[in-house]
Amino acid sequence: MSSRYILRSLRAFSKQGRAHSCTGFFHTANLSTALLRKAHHPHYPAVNINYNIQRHVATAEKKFECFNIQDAKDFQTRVIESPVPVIVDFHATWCGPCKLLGPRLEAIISNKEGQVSLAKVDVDENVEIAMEYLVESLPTVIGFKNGRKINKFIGLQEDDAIDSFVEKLIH
Amino acid sequence: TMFVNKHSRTFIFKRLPRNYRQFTSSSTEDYDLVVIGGGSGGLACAKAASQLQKKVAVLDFVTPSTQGTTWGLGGTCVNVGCIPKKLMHHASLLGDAIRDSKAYGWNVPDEVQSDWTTLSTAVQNHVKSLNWGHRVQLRDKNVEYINGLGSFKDPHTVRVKESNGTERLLKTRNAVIAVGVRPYVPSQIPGAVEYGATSDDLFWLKKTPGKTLLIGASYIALECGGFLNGLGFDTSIMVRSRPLKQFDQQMAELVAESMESKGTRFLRKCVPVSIEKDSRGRLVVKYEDLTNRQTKEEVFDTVMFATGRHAVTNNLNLEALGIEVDQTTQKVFGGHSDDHERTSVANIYAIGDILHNRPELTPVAIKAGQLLADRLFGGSQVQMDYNMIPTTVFTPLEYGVVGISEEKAVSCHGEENIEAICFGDRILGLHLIGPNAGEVIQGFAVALRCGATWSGLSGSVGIHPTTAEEVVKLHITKRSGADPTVTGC
Repeated sequence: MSSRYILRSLRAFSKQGRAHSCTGFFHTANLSTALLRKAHHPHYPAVNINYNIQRHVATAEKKFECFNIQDAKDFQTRVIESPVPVIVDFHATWCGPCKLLGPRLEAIISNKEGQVSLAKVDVDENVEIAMEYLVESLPTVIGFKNGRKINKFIGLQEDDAIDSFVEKLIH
Repeated sequence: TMFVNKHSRTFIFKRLPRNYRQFTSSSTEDYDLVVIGGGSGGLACAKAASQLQKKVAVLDFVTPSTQGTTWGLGGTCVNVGCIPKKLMHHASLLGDAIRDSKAYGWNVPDEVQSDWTTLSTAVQNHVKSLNWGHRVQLRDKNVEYINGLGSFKDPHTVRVKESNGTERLLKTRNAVIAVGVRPYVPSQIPGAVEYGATSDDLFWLKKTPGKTLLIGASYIALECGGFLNGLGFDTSIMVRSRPLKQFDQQMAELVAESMESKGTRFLRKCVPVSIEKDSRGRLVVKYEDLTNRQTKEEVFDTVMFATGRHAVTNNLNLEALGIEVDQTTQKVFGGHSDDHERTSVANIYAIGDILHNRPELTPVAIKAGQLLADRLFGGSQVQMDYNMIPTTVFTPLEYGVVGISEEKAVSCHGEENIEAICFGDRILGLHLIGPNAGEVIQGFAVALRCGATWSGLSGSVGIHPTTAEEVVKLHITKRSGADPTVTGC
């Protein structure tokens, strides 16, 4: 299975809208899972299991960190102190465009092979964080790198606009 | 004097004995204004005061309704009043429009149904976006927001109890009581508190209302009954005496008639006796017909009480401060020292629904709040003008009014002096029933405030074809007895 095929099927899966519930890890059986299972079989020669194996088969699974922020402390640890850049998606349950943007963000970020993570902040659950970063309209997406706010965009955007935003953050 | 900078302060602290306890003043802060209540009036007043560079805090807390419903920042209007009401009124009118559209050539199915879940979810999402909008606005205008229950410790100290249990004391120069009112459910009726919903619950109902009984004759009962009927629910309204007692009675009857013609059932001269739940979870209502003293029984899915709104001031500690409240309504008396909103305590004011004997309307609260902030901090002397306040009852056929009713006009000026509510040439009141009456009456309210006269009105040219032009074309007096029904142009 080529990596491009896997990535394409993952993106198609996320566009179904299931991804806005943001599990972070797509539970699709793929080459890497099969490899891992095989590697743990008692009769299989001892193999050093590490992420490098998955990288060789180039799946996006486990390369893409996506999580819901629980509180200010969580934000500090997983966004401010994150070693990789983090895209923070400020959204709300009552916001229509947010529901459309979420899957687009996940699909695009999943394509970046772990160079960037995605944090989701429900503004009703985390009002203080939203206030601190002057979030007004929703959705607001802010890119963080080394604990600092780098760039942001507001409202639903097309895929290429989102992609260039993510690329700008990474580089 | 000692100049304390960062360095010398550290120096001082190092010198203190280890067992010296530092008393922080974080529990008492100095505010220029603390507003208790984050509704239409409270928010307007807080924002206006903050614009004048004052230190302001607004407290908001929603005690859950009898059925456990609660909501966010913004007060009654945003969450359980004007906004959701108007959206649902519009939804029910759209149903009529869809049915009418067939005659205008649109291809629509013969039967159209409304889906309560879709509607209520959309309404609730909109309300939540407004809650958020208010939070953002308060931050932008530099007003501190505290989600907690406020009460007075003394005239210059407000105690806040936050939802997580922490208590704070806020020292303030002035305070405004803007806590509004809540639906009153007659607890002496068995089952009323347990099973009866109110306007606090209707817009947040998860399950469809089904066959609904509304108890009450106020505009709330009629507006809710009107849109529920329009959305396709079997709707009954139980009225003890007459609908819309506070309004012009001729107009009130026309409103009720129009609702009856649309299928709303009025149970006139009836009072509820008890409410019980049957084995299937439906509500069995026993009620008495006052005309023949018969007790009847009927089953409903939802029973909603719209039997008045009352002030909840007992937890504010007003008595201890000597703030006078009306014994019947518990509303706060204003009008002290020639200031409409000043209470019996010099630095404490009341605005909005909580203020005794003033219209319970959002724009009234907003304007009163803004003018109060200007008087407190902006050097203004302008008082709120509570006369000629327009309003509209958003029943399916809307009823817009500015000025006084015919009954009031007659009692004030004598019947011989009144001609279809004009006193001499001066217009005292204007009443209109029709589609979009709310939109129509707004302009006329400005005209009346500017002193519009009968000659001015009848001398104006109408816009054709509209409903509004009927106002300037009025030429038949009630006294004449002629039939006012319009047939031609």
